[in-house]
Amino acid sequence: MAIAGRLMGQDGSPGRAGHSWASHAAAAVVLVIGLGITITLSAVTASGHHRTNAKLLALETRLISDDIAAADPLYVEDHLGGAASLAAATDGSAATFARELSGSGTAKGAFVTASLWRLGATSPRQITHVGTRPLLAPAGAAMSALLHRAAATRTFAVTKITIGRTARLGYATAATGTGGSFAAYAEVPLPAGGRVSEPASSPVSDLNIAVYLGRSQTRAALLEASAAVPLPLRGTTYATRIPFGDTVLTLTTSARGSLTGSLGVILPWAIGVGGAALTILGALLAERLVRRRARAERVSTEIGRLYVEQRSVAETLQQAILPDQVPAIPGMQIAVRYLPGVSGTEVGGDWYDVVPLGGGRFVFVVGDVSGRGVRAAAMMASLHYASRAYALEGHPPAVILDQLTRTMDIAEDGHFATVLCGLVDVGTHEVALANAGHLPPLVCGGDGASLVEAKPGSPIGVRGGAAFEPTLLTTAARGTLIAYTDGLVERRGETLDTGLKRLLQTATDRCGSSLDDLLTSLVSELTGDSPTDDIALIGLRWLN
Amino acid sequence: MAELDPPDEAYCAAEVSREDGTAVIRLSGELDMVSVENVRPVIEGALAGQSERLVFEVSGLEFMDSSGIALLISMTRKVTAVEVRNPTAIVRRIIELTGLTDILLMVP
Repeated sequence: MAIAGRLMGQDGSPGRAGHSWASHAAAAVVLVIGLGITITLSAVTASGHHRTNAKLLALETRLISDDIAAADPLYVEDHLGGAASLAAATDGSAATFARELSGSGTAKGAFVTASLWRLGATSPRQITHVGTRPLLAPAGAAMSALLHRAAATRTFAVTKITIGRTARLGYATAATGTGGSFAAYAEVPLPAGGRVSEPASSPVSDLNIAVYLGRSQTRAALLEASAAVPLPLRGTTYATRIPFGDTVLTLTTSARGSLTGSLGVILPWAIGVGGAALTILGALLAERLVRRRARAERVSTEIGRLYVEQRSVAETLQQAILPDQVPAIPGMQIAVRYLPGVSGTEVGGDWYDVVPLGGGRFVFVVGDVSGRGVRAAAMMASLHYASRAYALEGHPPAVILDQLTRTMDIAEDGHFATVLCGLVDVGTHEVALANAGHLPPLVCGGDGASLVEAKPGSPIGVRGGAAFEPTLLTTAARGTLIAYTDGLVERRGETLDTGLKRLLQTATDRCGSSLDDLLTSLVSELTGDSPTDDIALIGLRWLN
Repeated sequence: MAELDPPDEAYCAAEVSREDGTAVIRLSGELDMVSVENVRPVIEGALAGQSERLVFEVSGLEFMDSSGIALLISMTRKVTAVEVRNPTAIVRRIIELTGLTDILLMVP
C-alpha cells in the first residue's frame, strides 16, 4: 500500500493539473461551438420572422390601400360628380341638386353638407345648399380656390378643413353643360382628433394605420389614425400612396405585434435559451467525460505500474534465489539458465540450486512449483531454503524430499511442486537421484544422450503417494547431466514424450559443444526466442 | 502495455452427470492456469452431497498443465477416490511422469 500511495501521490498530482486543463479546454470548445450554433440559429430564425412580418405588413397594407382606392374616390365621383353633371345638364337646377344629394348623401350618407355653385369668369356663386352649415366659409378664398381646382381637374379636388377640434374633408367636382360650368361641393366629417378605434374583430386590428391627405405625414394633413398611437408611426412601417382626386392619400402602417403569431416571436428566444442551456449542459458533460477518462487513464497507468512493481518484487525475490552463478565445485563445470515465460504475466515458481558439501560432494536441486504468481514464488523460496537446509544436514536426496513433503500441503497452499534432487560425488562420478514427480534428467557423453529413468514419487505437497526411491547412476568420463523444468519440453497438443524426444535429439547433436553452448542450444532450439512457460535449467559437466 | 495483455485464454468445458450416485465430470478442451478457475466451481458444485468417488472423464482433454494437475490432486482430499477415465496419451503421460499414478487412478 505504501507503494500505491507513493505512486498515486507522485503521478496523480501533476497529472491532475494537466487533465484539469484538458477538461476545461474541452468544455470551452463545446461552449464556443454550441453558443455559436445557437446564436446563428436564433439570428436566422429572428431574421426570417422579421422578413415574414415585413412581407405580411406590405401585403396587408396593399390590401387596405386597394380597398380605399376602390371605394372612397368612387363614392365621391359617383355621388358628387353625378350631382355636378346633373346640374350642368339641368342648367343649375337647385331642386334637382337637392333631391339628388339629400336622397343619397346628405341626410343619411357620408356627406353632411353639400352646395351647388355656378362657375364663371368672376368668383363662384352659390346656387343652393343642403345639409348642415359647411365648415369651409362659402365666401372665403379657400372655397373659391378649391372650386377652381375642381374646374381644372377631370376628377375631384379635395381639401382638409380644421376648425377647433372639428375636422372635415371638403370635396369639389365640376361639370360643364350648355348653360355654363357648375361645381358641386360637399363635406365629410373626420373622426374627432383624427383617431379611430378599429374593433378587435377587424382584419386590420393587428395594424397601426395613419392616413394623410397629400404626401406629407404632418398632423395637419392627418385624416385618420389608429387610436393611441404616437405619430408618425415608428418601428417597421410601410407607406403607400393612393390616388385621391387631384391629390393622393398617404397610407402608413406598422405592425402592432407579430403578424405571424406569438410563435414567431418566441421561437428565436426559445432557440437561444434552449440552445444555451443545452450547450452549457454539453460543456459540463464534456468536462466530466474528459475528467473521467483522464481518471480512468490515470488509474490504468497506476495499476500498470503497480503490477510491474509487484512483478518486479517477485522477480527480485526469484533472482535472489536464482543467481546467474552457482557455487564453484572443484572438478566440475556447472552452468545454469533461467528464462521467464512470456505467456503468463505473473512470475513463475521454477528454481535450481547447488549446495556444496565438501569432500568432493555436492547436492543439486531443480524444482517447479505449480501455477504462477507471488504465492508460487514464495513457496518456491521456502522449498529452496528448506531443501538447502536438509542437504547441509547431510541427508540423502530421498530423505530430503521426504522432509520437504512435510513443509507443504496442496490442500492448504493450493500448489504442489515437482523436485529433482541429486547427490553428486565428483571423484567417483556417482550420482544418487530422488524424484518427486519431476521430469527425468538426461545424461550425455561420448555415445549420445539418454534420459535417466528416475522413478517418480509423488510431487511435494501431495500426500499418500509412492515413496521416493533413490536412483543410482554413474556418469561417463567428461559426461554431462542436465536437469530442467517442464517449460523446456512441454507444448500444447503433443505428449510429453514428443518433447522429451526432441530434447534427446538436440542434446545428442550438441553434446560435444561447450556446456554453455549446449544449454543455449537446448533453450533456443526447443523453445525459440520466447518460451511460453518459465524454464529453469542446470547443466553439470565433469572435467575428468 | 503489452505486458498487461492476458494470455490467450484456453477454454475448458465441464459437464456433470451421475452414475449410481457417483459424480462424473466430463472435461474437454485445455485445462490450464486460466481455465482451471472456470471449471473449479462446477466441480465443487458437483461434490456437494457426494463424498465417495469422483470420476473425471477426460477423453476430450487436449492439454493439462500443472495447475490442472493441482486441481485434480486437490479433489483427492475431498473424496475417497479420484478416477481419471479415458485419458488421452497427453494426459496419461503427464500423470505418469508426475508420479501421480497412485493418487489419480487412471481407467483404463
